[in-house]
Amino acid sequence: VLDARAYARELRPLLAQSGAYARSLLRNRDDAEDAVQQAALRAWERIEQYDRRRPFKGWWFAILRNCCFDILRRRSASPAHGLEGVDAPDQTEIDIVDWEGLEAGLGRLSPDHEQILRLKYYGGLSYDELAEAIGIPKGTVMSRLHLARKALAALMRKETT
Amino acid sequence: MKPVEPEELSAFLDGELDPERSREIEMQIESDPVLRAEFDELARTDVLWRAAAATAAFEPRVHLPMAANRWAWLAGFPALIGALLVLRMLPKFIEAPAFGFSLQAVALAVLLAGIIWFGATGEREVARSSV
Repeated sequence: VLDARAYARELRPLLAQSGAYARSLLRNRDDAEDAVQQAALRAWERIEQYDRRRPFKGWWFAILRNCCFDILRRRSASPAHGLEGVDAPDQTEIDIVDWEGLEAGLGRLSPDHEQILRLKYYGGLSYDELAEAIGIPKGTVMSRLHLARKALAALMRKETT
Repeated sequence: MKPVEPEELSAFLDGELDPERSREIEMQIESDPVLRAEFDELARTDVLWRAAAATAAFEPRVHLPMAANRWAWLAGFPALIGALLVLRMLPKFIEAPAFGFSLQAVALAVLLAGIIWFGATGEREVARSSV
């Protein structure tokens, strides 16, 4: 079982990606910060359930995802709908990346594809970590991620033509 | 050479294949224009998403609960102070001042070590917002 210092040591390098992942789901930076805080407390409460042989990052992101969904449920809004109150990045950042366009494309994918792409890109999870976070075998991660990318690429291609 | 499975293109892009299989796939991508086009499309999407993810990243401020062993230390401090007071009275009872002072010194050292340890590890905030 991890002690408090080891837990903080594991968690610290994951915070920026955790913030990005929560922000992408919740569309709001303050809510994202709340979600990460809640997840940090929840994970600590359940630290005895963590198996050190398995990737900490995958375990942590499964908890963070549930905290984000709890906030979404309380908010009674779908992450894929309603851009009101969206906490988009700065205008200069939008010039570089079409944030809303990409997010809208992601929202049109199936929930499984959306989930795996969010975890992969915003969370930066490896295949082993994705398998742990989603609770599927690594082989399924590989095929699902590929299909999700193909679906997203097809959507983006459709939009540009 | 084993033909490329569709999902292996993604795994290759993510650096999730072993070096030998990666080399094989790289060679097949170079020699097959259809495979090359498919890979390029995946790579373009990948670049866009990585940029979007980098844009969304921020460092949230997170506080952790105090560990149980630290609470134990906090509870232990009054007990140590009480023990010090008892030791301070001890020389009067046993009429051996040097013995009493030694005990006091040991207890004080333990107390100081505890305070220093607690101060060094008592940080509960994992990170502060960088923005």
